[in-house]
Amino acid sequence: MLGFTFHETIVPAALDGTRMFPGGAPSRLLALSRSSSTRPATATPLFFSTPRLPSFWVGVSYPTQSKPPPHSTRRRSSKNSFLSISSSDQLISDLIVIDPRRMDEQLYMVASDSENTCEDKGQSAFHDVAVGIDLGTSKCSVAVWSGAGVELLKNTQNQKTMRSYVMFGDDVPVGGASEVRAYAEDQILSGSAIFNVKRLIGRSDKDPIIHGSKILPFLVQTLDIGVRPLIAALANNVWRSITPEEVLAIVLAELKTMAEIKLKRPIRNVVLTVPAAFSRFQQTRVERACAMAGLHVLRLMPEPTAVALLYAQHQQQSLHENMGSGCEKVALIFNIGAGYCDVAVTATAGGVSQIKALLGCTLGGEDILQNVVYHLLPNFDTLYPNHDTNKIRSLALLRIAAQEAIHKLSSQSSVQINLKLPDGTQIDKILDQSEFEDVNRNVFEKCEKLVRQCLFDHKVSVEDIDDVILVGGCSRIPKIKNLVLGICRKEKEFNGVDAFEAAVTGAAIEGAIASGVTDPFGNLDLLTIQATPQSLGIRVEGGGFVSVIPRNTAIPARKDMLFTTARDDQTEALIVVYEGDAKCAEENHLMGYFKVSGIPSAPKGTVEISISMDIDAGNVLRVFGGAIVPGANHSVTPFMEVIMPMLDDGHDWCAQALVKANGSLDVATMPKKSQP
Amino acid sequence: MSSAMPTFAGASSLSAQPAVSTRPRAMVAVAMAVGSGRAAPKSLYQVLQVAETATTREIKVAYRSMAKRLHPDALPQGGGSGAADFIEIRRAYEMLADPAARARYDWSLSQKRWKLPSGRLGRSDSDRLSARFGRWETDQCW
Repeated sequence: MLGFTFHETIVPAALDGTRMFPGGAPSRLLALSRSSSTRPATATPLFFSTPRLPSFWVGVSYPTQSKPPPHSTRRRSSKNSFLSISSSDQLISDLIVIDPRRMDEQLYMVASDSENTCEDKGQSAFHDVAVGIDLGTSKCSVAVWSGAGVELLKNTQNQKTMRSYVMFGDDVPVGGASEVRAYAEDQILSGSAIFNVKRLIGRSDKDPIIHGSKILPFLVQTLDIGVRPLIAALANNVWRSITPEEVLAIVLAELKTMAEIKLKRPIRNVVLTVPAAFSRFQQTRVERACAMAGLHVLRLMPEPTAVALLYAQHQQQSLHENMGSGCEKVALIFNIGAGYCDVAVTATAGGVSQIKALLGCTLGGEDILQNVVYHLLPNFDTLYPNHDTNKIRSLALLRIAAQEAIHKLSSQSSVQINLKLPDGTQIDKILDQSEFEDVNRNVFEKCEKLVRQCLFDHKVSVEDIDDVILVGGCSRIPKIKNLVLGICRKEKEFNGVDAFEAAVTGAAIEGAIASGVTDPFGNLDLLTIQATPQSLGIRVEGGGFVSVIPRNTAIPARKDMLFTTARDDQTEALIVVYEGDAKCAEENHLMGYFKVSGIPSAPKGTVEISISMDIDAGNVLRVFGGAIVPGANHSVTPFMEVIMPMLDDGHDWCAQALVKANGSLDVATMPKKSQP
Repeated sequence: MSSAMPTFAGASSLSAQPAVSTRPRAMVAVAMAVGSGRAAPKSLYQVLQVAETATTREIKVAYRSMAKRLHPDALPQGGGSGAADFIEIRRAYEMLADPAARARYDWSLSQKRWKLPSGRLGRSDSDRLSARFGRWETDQCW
């Protein structure tokens, strides 16, 4: 809920750049400094503390003297007042977490010229190019277009990919990107660090993924009523609660700081990759986290589509002479990381990559890891029923052992596991390839189903697929590799992309294109035509779901459909908008609702209610609705226009309440032939 | 002639029920004005700027090159008419790149061209015709 704190407690005095220092500031203060056009952006610190982190200060400062980039809101118009803060001309370039007691140590004074490794000439021309961020469940990375190609940025430990976690030790919250001191795996698994946030964000406490996450070392508490789960990290023997958005914001802010040190300029615009399985509601949570970190999201790209863009660039480079001749290449992109699995089919020619089918599910290395943990100690839950230190330590040891075993099994046929748990339980096991595959059969079956469904959606047989691209950490597991290649009847995977860097590279290319960078060699003369990964529609009489924009429709899109009243003399209709592909509305994600009123009194089934859905290029969904006069071209009353998703937290709970309270305002479908 | 202009697909999830509608299709007037302001509706071939004899391959190339110009991502900030142009070429492309849908469209186009101006085939006939052939578009075909 930091987002709201941000919004509601802006101190007017702080808006004109007043410096706020922690010594004199009350403990729950939020100040926002912004650079006005009359004053150059100099080091203007900004401090605020979140109610969730009472003992820490979160500070924002400008480490460099460079000019603020001209603000570009080309892609994404602000959806709500909160985001509009970040899209104004304020320039927050550096969010760091500082303990007030140590303020004078200047933990993050960054603008030292000597440690910069990027060539300055190349940078000057690209001073406001958006960076690409791949925020993975387990690892994250940042890349930027540097003029000649995409460059992955390294942290102080010289790592290109960093663990996505935030450690709440007895000191300051630290994420994986800064790695001021590198935490060992068992420290990360001690309950003090929050990780796997991407699996937790934007989910209600009835979600099976949330329940599955209770096996993680940190605390995930649920009430099972459809509200947000409580997540807490162990700091000084206290479970301190935090929201997934805040954790993500800290990770993003660190990545931002890291990129600013490397590029010696403020970073504001980003292109972020998200899983295809993310609901629109989850996407708003990611946007909120970005806004908290002072980042402006130009585009949220489903991960496989970022890879598709990279593939399109490869095709463009290798088939330069054939450009525009209609030589079309079809590729299947399979991406499986730690938390999510996505499949896309893309058709590429002449630099235009068209996403023909896109599908994702919450499935990944975490599920494989949990399967192996339960395989090693089947009665784990009964041995350690409570979330006490014993359980956490055993779990940490098991996770580390399981992870190592999985990694080794990618290259060898069997692995020996010897483990002694704190309570004396000794585990000695030899895990071989076939046993591993057996343990994870559910995961592999789901992968197979997902690929087949995606091919089915695309309505083209496997013979038409030219390339199979496998990316993501878990795509290195031999079984998964063989499975996907087997379905596509291919001998080899496409070897032009790096499995770990493809998504972030694609995001950086998109960032450059979106920032208006042109390349003399045509390397950025690319276009991705995105598709909707899930159907969008409304609830009809009897709880059914009717899609208005079906899955895999090209974006931007606009469709409309006629509905009618379900009852005689019904003067109001409740339009409940869902996202998903289940036939029953309640199994889909609720996005919002509104009432169409002023419907003329008439027998049921005769009035026409028009529902239009519009997705613009920035992927903003608008739903229009109103009753129209049959045979005429105008509406009875002014139409409603609602941006979705309009719901905040508690959407699951809201869905139940909606159904219970408003059953008499249902709409019904119109016969197919009278649809426009 | 809004009655003869295909508008939107997307009714695929509805159960088929007897068609009785012979009235003009209601066009929604809210911000839905694809192609409004034009004197005469363009044919889908005119939209894609290809000949009516164009091959599927030529249509794909035309679509792609137009998409590169008209997709909102490719437009300079605030330029062009936003998404409407792209949606229009996309709709034309989806129809023409699918051989079956294209054949139906060609046929209806020839009907309209030859029969309608002479007045021998009235509105109800053309509506019957479109009712018989159902939706003119497929949901996705590329």
